[in-house]
Amino acid sequence: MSDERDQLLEALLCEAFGRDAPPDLTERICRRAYAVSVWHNPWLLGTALVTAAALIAVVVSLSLPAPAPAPQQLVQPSDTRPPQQPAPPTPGDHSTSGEPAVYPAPSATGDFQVVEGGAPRRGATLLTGLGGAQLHLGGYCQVRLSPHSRVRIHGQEREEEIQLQEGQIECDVAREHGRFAVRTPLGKVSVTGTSFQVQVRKGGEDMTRSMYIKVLAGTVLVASAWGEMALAAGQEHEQPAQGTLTGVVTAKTERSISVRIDESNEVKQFIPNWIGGLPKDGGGLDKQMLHTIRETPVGSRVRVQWMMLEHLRVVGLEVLERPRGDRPEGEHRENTGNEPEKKDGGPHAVGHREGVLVGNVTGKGEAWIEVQGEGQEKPTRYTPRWIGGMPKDGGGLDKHMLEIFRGLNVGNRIRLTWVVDERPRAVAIEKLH
Amino acid sequence: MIGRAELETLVRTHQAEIYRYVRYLGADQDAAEDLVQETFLVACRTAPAVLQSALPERAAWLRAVARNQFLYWCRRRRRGPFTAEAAVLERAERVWNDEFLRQGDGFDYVEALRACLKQLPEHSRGALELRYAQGKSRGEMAGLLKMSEDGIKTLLRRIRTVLGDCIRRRLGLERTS
Repeated sequence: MSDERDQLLEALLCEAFGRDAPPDLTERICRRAYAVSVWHNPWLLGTALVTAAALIAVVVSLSLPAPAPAPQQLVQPSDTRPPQQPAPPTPGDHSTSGEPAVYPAPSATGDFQVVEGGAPRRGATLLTGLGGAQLHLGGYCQVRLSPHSRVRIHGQEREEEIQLQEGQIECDVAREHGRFAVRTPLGKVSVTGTSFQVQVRKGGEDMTRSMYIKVLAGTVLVASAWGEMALAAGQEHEQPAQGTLTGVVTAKTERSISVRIDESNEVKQFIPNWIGGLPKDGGGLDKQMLHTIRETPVGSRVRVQWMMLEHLRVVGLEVLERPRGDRPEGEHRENTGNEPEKKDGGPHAVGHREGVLVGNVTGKGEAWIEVQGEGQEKPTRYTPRWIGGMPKDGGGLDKHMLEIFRGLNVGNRIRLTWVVDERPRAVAIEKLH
Repeated sequence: MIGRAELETLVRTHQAEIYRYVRYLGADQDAAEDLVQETFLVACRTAPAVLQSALPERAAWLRAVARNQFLYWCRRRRRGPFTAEAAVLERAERVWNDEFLRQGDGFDYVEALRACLKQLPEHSRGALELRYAQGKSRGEMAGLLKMSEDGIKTLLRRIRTVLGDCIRRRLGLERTS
């Protein structure tokens, strides 16, 4: 790797690990800029004093009936020019010489369209094109919208607010002029006078959306269903997607549970959250949730609280309705659909596994069926159990199960109870609708 | 000279990048703050037209100023003049612009770094935490990890190479580099 690339990584790693966040030098720079420029430039010094005197004169004359005081000594007695005009209003400064200020309406520049038509205004949604756009709010909030971003303008005077529906924005806010907040589907970022970026990252599906905030200067307050936190300059935070859903448990393993979601009819697999640090330090999957998963029968109607953190995580699981004919979950059940483990000394020996799944018949033969369980990547072949001893002693495949196999068609939806005994074996089958 | 509000906006928009940039060039933390300040003071006093242009052009100009300030700083620290450094800094700017910014603001690069960090094996992450989170020196790390200082130096460099390769793969930079 070249030296420059190595140096780049060094610098970014210091920042990534929190030891070198860029500081906010705004006040220091501004103090230095104007202090140096005035005191080192006699012309500017003189102009500044004359301007200050003129402003004082104007203010005094407006507030008192008495005449304004005489200008400062630096002004030549023969100077008949009118007092220097005050500087043009800066963004957010609405105190021009005595006239009531008009609070600026939202405006935008760049490559964008207003979804509802017309000009940018409160309640309108802006969709940016390839070039991105700039949104100006209240004269004190400058929002840069990245390409393909979608923003809705809310808020009111001095309490500007936008909703970031998609994409990325970078905000600069002058704190002394008002408040500003960014709402996303996953939380709210409140500004305390700062420069920061917010991005709503969208994965392939809504459940993988997350909100990413990076603070460039100042601080922001992030509020979401997970609580509040403050971020300082240089810090960043990814707010994971989260929510609550209801559905039916279609399959589970030792570490996961698959649920057919009521709203979308999709099947999603959830795993518990990781608690603690590295495994060597005692970290691991949430043991309480692992126990809850074990106690939840396949076929139950459940309410799942979830969050997206690298994987879909189950953080809350409530059984709303148990399946009909539910068997007591006295012992641990598993369903992997994987190759069976080696038999170790007989059908009841340690190493056997069993489970229940719901799925579709994808193939069948004389003595086997192939079933694609919900949430599984590929179908698994099941044969009946071997009943009895050697064939010469009358042993053979379970005839009752063979009969059931014959009655099934490809495409049938079934609930299958299985056990691993040298290979996956079908123990019980219930035809579903 | 630009107005105060305009300067504040300029500083807030660009100061993090300029700070990161001068740290990348090699300034320590204290010097980096001074260099950032000097960069914006130059911008404030000269108030060139480029300050009204689009963000990438403004940022490139500010980086050029920062590079010059860094060069002056390097020369003030040493006894003789150095003519080779300008070429080194130009190369550094190319890497910054072509690989880190990539016509954006480095967001993708930082994201790729975060993702690649998560993929590192535990012992590599541990070494990085000692160095970059806890600020351990190579000597301290050598004592903790029961390795030589040279071994630590090689280890860190190797981890950064792995990270660099991972980042470039994620960003599709292999074909262009």
